[in-house]
Amino acid sequence: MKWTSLFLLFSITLGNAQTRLEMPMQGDPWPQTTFELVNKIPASKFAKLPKALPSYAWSNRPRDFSTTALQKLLNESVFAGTNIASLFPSSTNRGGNIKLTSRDNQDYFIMMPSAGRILIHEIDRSRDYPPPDAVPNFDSLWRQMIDLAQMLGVSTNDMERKIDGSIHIRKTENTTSHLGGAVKYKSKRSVTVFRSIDGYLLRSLDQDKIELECGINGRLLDFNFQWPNITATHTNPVLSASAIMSEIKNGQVLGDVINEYPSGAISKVELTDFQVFYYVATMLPYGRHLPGETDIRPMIELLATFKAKDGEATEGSLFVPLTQSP
Amino acid sequence: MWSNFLLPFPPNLRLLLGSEEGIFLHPIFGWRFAADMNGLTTPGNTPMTIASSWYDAAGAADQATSQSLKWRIIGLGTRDMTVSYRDDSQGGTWKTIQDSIWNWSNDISYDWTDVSLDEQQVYP
Repeated sequence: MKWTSLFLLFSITLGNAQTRLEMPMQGDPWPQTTFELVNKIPASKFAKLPKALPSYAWSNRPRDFSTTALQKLLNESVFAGTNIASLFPSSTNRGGNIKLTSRDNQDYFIMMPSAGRILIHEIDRSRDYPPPDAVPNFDSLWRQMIDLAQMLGVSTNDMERKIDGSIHIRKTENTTSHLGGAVKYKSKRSVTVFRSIDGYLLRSLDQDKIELECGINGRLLDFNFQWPNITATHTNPVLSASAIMSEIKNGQVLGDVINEYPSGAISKVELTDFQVFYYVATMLPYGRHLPGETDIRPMIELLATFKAKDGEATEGSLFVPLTQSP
Repeated sequence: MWSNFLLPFPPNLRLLLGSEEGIFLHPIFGWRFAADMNGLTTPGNTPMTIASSWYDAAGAADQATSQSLKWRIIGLGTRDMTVSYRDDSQGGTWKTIQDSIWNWSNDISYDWTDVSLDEQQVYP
């Protein structure tokens, strides 16, 4: 009898642990359960949500990289002159990994089809001071990026969008200064696009992306392609607005880690807007190929105003699962 | 300070990591910085240089912050990180900006005019 009770207790604890919402480094537990919850989001916005949304898992199917694209990348790297076909075990077996490195291991060309990754890196060994700006501009880099993305099977439809609907292009630019600023020049620029799923943001610790970085005279310094195949595991009904409110009241909610809260206890939470996103529920990017597990699930982020009794208010976000559990 | 070479850069310092303006202290920053330097974010576990890790972690923190609805609406503006390092124009065969936690050379220049500054706009 005692063992049965212990087993039941263990099962309940394990069951609770499995369903407990967690978003390491992105969402914090929301400890409070006694507050007034007010939904100020227009019902018409909730009405636009789809009736059901799929969850996804990382696929075991290797990404089939175009040999034309790989050869083009090789030709632009320090490994120019290498024939990509000679690196494959056979003309029909192109699923294996490839790794080329320079003698000092500082430059590399790595391709891992099962992880959907290509990484090319070259360091700048020049000792001359170049002209102030001999690095390709962002427009030129973007055109190269789009060409490569298309050759590698990524459409602009799958790229993260800004709130205005345009593609979110992250741009970086390096300025190097020597001799106290007497010599100053642009040393590299990069463009990066991030992955979206079904038009929704994809949030994870290490986001899928394509990054292209070029240096002086257009030299390819970095190309980082991280876009593994995914597969839909199941489709579940989307929660209604009232069901989402119930989830919050029942504690199935996390606060954005960057939230700032009023110093006093929160007495009222007003929901003012929301966005849907897909959350990658794994800690380590390279331990994420777990067949059968749902790794990428739809969530809703609710923009909220947190109000204390003394009138102090802050704005932040709450995260709630958007679909019913399978 | 920079134009007068008055930098806190003693001879035993190889790199000085900094930021041009306020940064978003997103928890992802520390994890990503360590993961990058140890090769956990690259295929084949190839470690990034310390400088690249610094820039990448800042970019990741800004990207994570920018995905929050509040910041998607407001916008983050421009973010810049910096790395001061020893160049090799006056001697040595190694620029300290190439240092990784697994790979570096001691054949570097200690000439004060080789203290250089690299600044990366990491966001947007």
